[in-house]
Amino acid sequence: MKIAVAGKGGSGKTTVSGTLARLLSRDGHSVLALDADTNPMLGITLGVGAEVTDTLLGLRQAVDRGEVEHAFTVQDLIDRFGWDAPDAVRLVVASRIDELDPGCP
Amino acid sequence: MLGELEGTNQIVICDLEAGIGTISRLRDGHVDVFLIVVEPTRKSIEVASRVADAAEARGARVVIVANRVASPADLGLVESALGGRQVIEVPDDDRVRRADQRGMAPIDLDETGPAIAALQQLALIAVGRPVSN
Repeated sequence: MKIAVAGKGGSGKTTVSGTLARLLSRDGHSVLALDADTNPMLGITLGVGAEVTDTLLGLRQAVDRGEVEHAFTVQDLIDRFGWDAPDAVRLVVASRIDELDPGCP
Repeated sequence: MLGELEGTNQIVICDLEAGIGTISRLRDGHVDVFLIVVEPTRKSIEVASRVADAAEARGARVVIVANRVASPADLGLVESALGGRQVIEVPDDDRVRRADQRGMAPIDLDETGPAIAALQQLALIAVGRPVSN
């Protein structure tokens, strides 16, 4: 099942996403938390901390600049641009290139 | 990308780019349910309304998450503007603010407050489980 969390910036979208991911995992689901925001902060509300969130942002920016190859498959995205968050949630930060555009893997 | 995640028994929860940009690029069926987070302000409601219309046009379920609700008037503003859709109220909760200030996950700082309780209900609703009232 795919859940998208939307809303105006500052509405609390990222807090809702991160908290929901943790709660769903505690309810027994296998959860992938995908940060598709241009200013990726989901790591903070998920509980991985500011440093890891910054590292993942840096990696994302490197892809956008062409310094790091973008993911060609979803598994590649999950492996190279992800981090294990608490409650076994896998956090993945998407770049503009592998954004939700169905034309691009 | 979202299309490729089909067929797993995993839940993918995607924090979208703020505003209405991304949703206009999504195709039908990519997302099962949209949780549209809205504050009781005109601008927030305006964005939420556009996103809700676009989501419904793509056949997705929409649940409105009325965030930082501090009064019945707040809730009324959201419900009257986004009427007819399921609205979940997440009360204004200082615990969340404090977690934000410390760069911590709200669920790690203090999970006992009304905001997290409301989000637990939202979690059940999002996956389509009946909720006790």
